[in-house]
Amino acid sequence: MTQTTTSGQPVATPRGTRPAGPRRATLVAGLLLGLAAGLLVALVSVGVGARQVPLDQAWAALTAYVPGDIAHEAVRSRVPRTVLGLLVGASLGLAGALMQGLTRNPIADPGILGVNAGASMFVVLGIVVLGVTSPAAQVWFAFAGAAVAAVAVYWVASLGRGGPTPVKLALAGACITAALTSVITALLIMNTRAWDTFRFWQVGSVAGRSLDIVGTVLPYLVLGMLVALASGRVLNALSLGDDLARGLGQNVGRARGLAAVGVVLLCGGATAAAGPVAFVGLTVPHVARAITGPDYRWILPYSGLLGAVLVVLADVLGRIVAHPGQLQVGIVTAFIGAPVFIALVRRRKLAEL
Amino acid sequence: MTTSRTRTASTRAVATIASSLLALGALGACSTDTTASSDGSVAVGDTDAFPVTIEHAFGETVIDEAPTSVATVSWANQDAVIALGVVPVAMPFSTYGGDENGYLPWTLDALEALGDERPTLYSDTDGIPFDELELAGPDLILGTYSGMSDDEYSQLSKIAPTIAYPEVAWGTDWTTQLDVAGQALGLDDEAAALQTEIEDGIATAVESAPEIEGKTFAYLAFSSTDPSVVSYYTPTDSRVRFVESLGLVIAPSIVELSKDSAEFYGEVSAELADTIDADIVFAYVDSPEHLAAVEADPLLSAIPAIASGAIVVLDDPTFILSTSAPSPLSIPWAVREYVPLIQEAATHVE
Amino acid sequence: MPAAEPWAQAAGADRAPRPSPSPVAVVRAARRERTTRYRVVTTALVAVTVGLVVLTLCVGAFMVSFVDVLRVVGGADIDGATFVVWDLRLPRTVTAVCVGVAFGLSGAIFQTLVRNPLASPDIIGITAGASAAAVVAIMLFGLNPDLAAPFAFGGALVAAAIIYLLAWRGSVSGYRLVLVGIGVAAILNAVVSYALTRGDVIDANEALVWITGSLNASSWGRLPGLVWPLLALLPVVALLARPLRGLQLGDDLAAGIGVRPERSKLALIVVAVALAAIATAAAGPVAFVAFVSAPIARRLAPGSGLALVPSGLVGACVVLAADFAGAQLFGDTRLPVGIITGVIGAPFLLWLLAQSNRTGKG
Repeated sequence: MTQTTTSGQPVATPRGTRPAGPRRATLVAGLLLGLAAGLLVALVSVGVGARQVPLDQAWAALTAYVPGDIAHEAVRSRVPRTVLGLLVGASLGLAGALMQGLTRNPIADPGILGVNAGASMFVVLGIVVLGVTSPAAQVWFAFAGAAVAAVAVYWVASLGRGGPTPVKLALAGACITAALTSVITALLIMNTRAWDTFRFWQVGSVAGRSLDIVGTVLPYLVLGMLVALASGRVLNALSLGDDLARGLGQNVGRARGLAAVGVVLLCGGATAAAGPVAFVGLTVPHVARAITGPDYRWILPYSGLLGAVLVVLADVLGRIVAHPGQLQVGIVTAFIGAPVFIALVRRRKLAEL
Repeated sequence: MTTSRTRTASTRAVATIASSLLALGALGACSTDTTASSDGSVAVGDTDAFPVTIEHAFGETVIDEAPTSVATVSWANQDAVIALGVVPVAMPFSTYGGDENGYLPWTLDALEALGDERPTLYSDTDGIPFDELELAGPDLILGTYSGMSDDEYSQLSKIAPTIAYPEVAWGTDWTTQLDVAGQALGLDDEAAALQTEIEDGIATAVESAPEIEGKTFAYLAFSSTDPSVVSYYTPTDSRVRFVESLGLVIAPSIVELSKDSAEFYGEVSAELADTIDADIVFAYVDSPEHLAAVEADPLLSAIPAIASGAIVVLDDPTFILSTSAPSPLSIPWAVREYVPLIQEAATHVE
Repeated sequence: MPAAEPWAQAAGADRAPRPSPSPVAVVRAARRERTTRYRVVTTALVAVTVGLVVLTLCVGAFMVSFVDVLRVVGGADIDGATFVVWDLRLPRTVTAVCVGVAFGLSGAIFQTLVRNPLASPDIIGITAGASAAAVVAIMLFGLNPDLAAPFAFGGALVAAAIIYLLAWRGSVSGYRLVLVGIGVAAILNAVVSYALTRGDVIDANEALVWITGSLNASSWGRLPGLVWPLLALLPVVALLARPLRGLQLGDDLAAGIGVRPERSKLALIVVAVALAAIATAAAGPVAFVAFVSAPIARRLAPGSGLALVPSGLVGACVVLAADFAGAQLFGDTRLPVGIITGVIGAPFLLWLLAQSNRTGKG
């Protein structure tokens, strides 16, 4: 009981009062360092693959491209997945930070909160009902499903006193995931062909997506990122609790609504392009917070950068460990992220995160 | 050892080889059987041959007299029965690869040739529906090609004498299926004759297409979800073995890739596509659009056979089933359908 | 109705400490458990279970009259009917009842222990452990799905042990258990997703049927592995009912009435996990049975405290009815029991979710 009560304390613990975090200059330097790290992993991602291409040739593939040269083609084929990895990672990182700030909930993540399941459900409906198997078309189903599930989970968890507490949100997400998975199975068990397409989609991967897909989701992701990056001040105010935020002159309802739109744009777009990739949105903001302190104006950009780095790294790792095949990024992030999640919930004062 | 109940690819393959050998032995045995009917009728089994004892993975099954109503479980087993001119009383509905009535095309063709009689088709989405089988009232249940468990076997045995797979689950090739069905129905000679006929048919088809002899091939599956990898079937897979039976030779690179693997299936990055050194590629794709996407992909098109257009396109589950679950009806069908496609592909080999 | 639904108050407890009920209320609640309503509901549930058993024994592709069913059970040998009733339907029905009772009780224990109706073994990673082990066995080791049972059993136990150990911090808090469970479930689901992409679609389809839950593999030969452990666990559940009722009031109060919280919690978790594991090994992770049984039972018999017996009975009814529906209501197609419980359970789950959050207003 003691623990229950402790973890069940009011979530609006004071933390937006800007305790001494790192200095501004340090944080700016850190961001630049993050950018450099992003650039570095991007280069590694383009340079490393199943085919070993010498550095000079890899460089030539980008600068003096010879169409049809298999080494050049191999290197260039890593560009879309790297770009997508950066985008998906940044989006999921930002979405995670946004969700966590918005719900004052340390364990918010598109996977945990059922957004992935929503996207999956709509993709299956697309495959089974309309016979949609091309990734470019599946994007739209995933997008719609992610949005519907995100709204549903948040709405359900918000019912009752106390609003969307961590446990209520996590359970709502787990329940909606379980419910949707059941319906998905019912749809697929009678349709072996659809099942054959879906089982490859559901692992979550940035590999083999064309730049067209990147192009399709890019506007939504960029819009979502802008919304997210602009939300720092609002999240800081919200972290003081609704009443205090209102006192500071924030329109709490509108601020929440706008940030929620950002979440849906980011999660929906990322899941649409890469399938369900879990735990990035969960893990990254905590690392960011550990670096920056509690100020969301810094947490957000750090989360985006770290997310991008994490997903691209996970993709490279998947290529290395499963050579000459590859392990999908969704599998790798689950194994990296879930332990972080568990370490997190083992902390005594869940509500204070 | 639980090999008799595992169904990994390697065991499948071993089984296929083993059962081929067994089948050869069994055929020799058959030819010494002098009690076979001589009037050439295949509608009724030879009653003198009974009782017949058939060995299989779960023991021996004794069939006391010539069966008059046969039920089959799992895929493919109905085909051996129908090929011998007998319409089963009950067989499974094929949701994968079948038409809207649940028939695979080669099964339906053969049934139509036999007349208007049709079996009861049962749904096995939730496993074998034992009560429907009981209702059909068979006096023989054939599951020569199956992966039935011993529990399932003992339930089925309470309905009627049941024949499981000979040694290894899912490892029974079409000649053994035919041979066992022949023994069980008292149609040994007919089964032997039919086997010869089918083998002659394959030989004729192969002879009529000398240009495919000795060509190397790779059996590949492409995913529209993730074109950055290619899946290949290893030499242990029944599909691959079928193509080999047509006189083609598996590509050295696939042999090399599969050499440490016990699986029937592996993956290789599209970045290494150019190393798939096959004359002809058998390509599973979702649709014609997907094929176009594969051909346009800068990496996948580096597979020499894709570049030259020496492709046997497999975009239909029926095609997949015809050789992945080989039966005495599906194999002739597959030969008929595949050989012209392979010939066409062979014209593109450079 | 303060003690009517253990989580009705507990849902508020994730925000703020609440006043604990007085010992007098405890006694009153315990007395209320023996109210007429409780007895009526339990009797009615027994009647419904018996009715469903009779229905599933008589009706199917092969119809058998009630009289013949009785004769077969009495030992008569009737052509056809004996096989269908004795060899097929009776073991399947007994399996359905046992699986339902086991899942129902397991869910009820977890939900009470964690004080949340959503904390059933299917949500917090225990059946996910069974699924992951079984799918790996089917897809990567090429096992016949019928033989996946020991893997499933082991998978459930290992997952539960991992969850428990990871959630342990001097003591086990219900919420931490749930959240760690959700995290472990996510990894296990990634394993399932990955394993399902390895191999061809036919195997993947068999694995899908397994992770849905099916009773088709029931037989007399497999029943002992389900029935004996269940019969062994039932008295343990009865013994643990008192500590569970105590823990419902909070660790401190429980200690006050002589319950040792940590030891009792561990014992309860072990029992609940064992119940879920034997049921999953017998029929696969039949979706949501563990989840829906106790909430339905408590709505039927409000004010009856733990309502363990009704929960088990509701579980049995749900499995029996869903299996019957899957076999009979879809024309020629026979659907596994888990599809029916999943599709019916999903909206109920969402409704319950909304409902329990609302009642959290307290």
